[in-house]
Amino acid sequence: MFYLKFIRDFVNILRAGQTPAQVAGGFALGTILGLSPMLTLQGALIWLILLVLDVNFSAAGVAMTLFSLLAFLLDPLFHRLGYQILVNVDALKGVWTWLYNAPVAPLTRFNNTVVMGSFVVALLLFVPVYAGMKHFVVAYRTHIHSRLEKWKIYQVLDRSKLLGWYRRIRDLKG
Amino acid sequence: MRKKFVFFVLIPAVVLCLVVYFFVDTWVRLGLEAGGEAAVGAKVEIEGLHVSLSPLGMRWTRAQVADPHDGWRNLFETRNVRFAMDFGQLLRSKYIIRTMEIDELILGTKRTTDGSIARKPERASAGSPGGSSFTAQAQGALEKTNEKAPPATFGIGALHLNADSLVKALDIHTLKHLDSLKSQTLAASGQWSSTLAEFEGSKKKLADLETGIKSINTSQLNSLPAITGAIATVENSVKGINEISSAFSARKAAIGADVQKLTGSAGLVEEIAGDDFARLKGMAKLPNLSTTGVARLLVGDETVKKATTYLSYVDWARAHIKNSSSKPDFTAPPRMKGENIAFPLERAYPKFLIEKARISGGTDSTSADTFIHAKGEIDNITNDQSVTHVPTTASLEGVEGGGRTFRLKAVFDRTKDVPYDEYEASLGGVPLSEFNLGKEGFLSAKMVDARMSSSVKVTVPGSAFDASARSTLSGFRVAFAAEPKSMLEKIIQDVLRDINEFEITFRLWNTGGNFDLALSTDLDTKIAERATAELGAEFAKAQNELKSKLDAAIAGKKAEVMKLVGEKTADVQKQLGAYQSLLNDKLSLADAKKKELTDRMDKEKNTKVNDALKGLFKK
Repeated sequence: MFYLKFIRDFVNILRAGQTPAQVAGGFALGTILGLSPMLTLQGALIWLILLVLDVNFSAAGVAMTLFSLLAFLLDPLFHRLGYQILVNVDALKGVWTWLYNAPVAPLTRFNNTVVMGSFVVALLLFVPVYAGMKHFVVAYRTHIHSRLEKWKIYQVLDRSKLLGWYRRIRDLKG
Repeated sequence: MRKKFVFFVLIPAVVLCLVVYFFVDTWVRLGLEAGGEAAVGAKVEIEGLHVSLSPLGMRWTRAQVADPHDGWRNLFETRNVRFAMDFGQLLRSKYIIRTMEIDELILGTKRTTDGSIARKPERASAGSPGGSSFTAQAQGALEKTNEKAPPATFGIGALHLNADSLVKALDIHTLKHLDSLKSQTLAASGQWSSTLAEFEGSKKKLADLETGIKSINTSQLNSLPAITGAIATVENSVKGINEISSAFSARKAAIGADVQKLTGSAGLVEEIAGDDFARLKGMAKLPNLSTTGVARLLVGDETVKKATTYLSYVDWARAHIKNSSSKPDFTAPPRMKGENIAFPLERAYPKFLIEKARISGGTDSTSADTFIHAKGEIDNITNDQSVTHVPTTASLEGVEGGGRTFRLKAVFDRTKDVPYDEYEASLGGVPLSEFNLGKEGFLSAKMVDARMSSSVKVTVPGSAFDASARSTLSGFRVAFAAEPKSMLEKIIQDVLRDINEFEITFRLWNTGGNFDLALSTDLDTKIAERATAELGAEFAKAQNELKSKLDAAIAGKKAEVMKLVGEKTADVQKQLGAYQSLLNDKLSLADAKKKELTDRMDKEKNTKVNDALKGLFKK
């Protein structure tokens, strides 16, 4: 029921509640956590930011779930990208060597190809995801939801069992 | 900012930190004790442990590690131990200790409580006996070597011997060898005769060739074709002689090899006779007064026992200080695991390193009569020398209660593929509680109140091993278990009573594959001198009698066979020489005739040319 609560909260949040920036912020931070492997120093920092900043937890949870699955699928790509960054970019070798010899930096596991690849992708996606999600929430609240309601397929689906489940989930009391 | 975060996360985190801070000492102590007990197999107790956070390290005031074989005694006990860890490397899960100070490391203290614990069955390890350990390899060799000289060979009391009976009972190998040599000579002689008969047959052919050559009268040859024909005849004769000569050379070489073999075999007669005499002495139980046999019997058992103990230390070092490689195996990374890329390290560290451990301590002064105090350093204790590139070294110096000193140095080098260990120790006047002499049934005795000065060097490169030691035992008193049973035992007892110092030289090595042992003492010489003085004349007489009887037994056959060999070889060599001279003569004759004919042809050619020129000018 924990995940159902998350989904219900997320759907409710899309419609109303927290500001689009809070929802998008939570979603974007959740994206980073979802894409990156656990147990790294930067992962702990993102968790801390998530806890400290007043961003939406449900959005972060949904993003983490979605992007964890995506990360599993894209793992070979992350490995390849991380390998290229760590091994083939000569300009950065000095930085990596310095970090490798620094006392705390190894806790980030930056020298792992998957950690490096996924973290770079997550950082690159952070701003677009944030902006895109914010835009999406605003749009959803202003006209997407009302437009969806007018669609014939929506009305068919609205009477379907699937939507019955959706509503049950949505209206669950936490 | 979430206010709830402060209450629900930060405050519990602070409380957790405080709990950890107050209880970390206990947790670390329990962890170390549990780990130590698992490693040693007996109780490990640490008192006054304190973990400091800045600098990160720990100290304790007392630790005692019980002896797994005797629960009421400690393997060792320490007073104050202090060390600090490198925090930066700890973040990398590396335990780097720059300096560890261990005060008052005391060996073998008594315990007030039983320190034994129920032990789990031990897993077989590299150092365990029965494997390919040095102890297992050497033990067999040591015991075998030590058993080479049984006490029975020293029955000097049996000097009143019956030499004739002994010679009759002896299986005389010399006679067998002479019989064999005779047969070989006769067989070879028969072959030589048939070969020489073949040579006789070829003598007629040589004579025919000689006749053919001699029949050519050079002065009667007036034309060039006649001279050319004569030269061809001579060349054919030379060819024939050479064919006979090469056949002769091959046979001569074969006969020469036979002669050499027989001569060599004849030369072995004296050596085999010497062996027969040694066996005859063995049957007569005559002692060899100048060998190291006595030394082996006297100090062999005790030396083997001590050597085996020390070898187990070498095995322990080999098993626990391992070679390791910094090269990771290449594996395709599993999903979501990735590959760790290594970058150049300004200074690489292994997983575990104690750069310097300062130790001071000794034996228990309260329970041991002779307290030993030692201090020293062990440097570069690590799990991976391929990273540190520095071998582990130990240097220890000690003083015994009576002012005597000892020094110990050790190197454990695992920086290369082939491990290398080296130990050097020197001990001055170390008291020995007891040193067993002899064997059960032969001069069983104990040396008490002895002082030992020793120098030992052991090198263990790879699977090879070479240990040499020189020990001097002095100031001792020998307590014999029984009265002497033989004259030799009496002599040895007298010698041991008279001397107050002797030296043992010991070498154990396996550089050639198997373990070898060399053990000697200067006791041998002393005992031999005493025995010679007391038994010299009788011993020499008995020995001479045996020798003369043996010589007499083989003299007749020896003279006969040696004469036969000499005659046959001389005869065949003489005949071969004669035939060789004959061949040389014929070849010389043919060469001379050929030269004569060549000169005649040159002269004839010149005459013809001159005549032709004269005819030309006349016209």
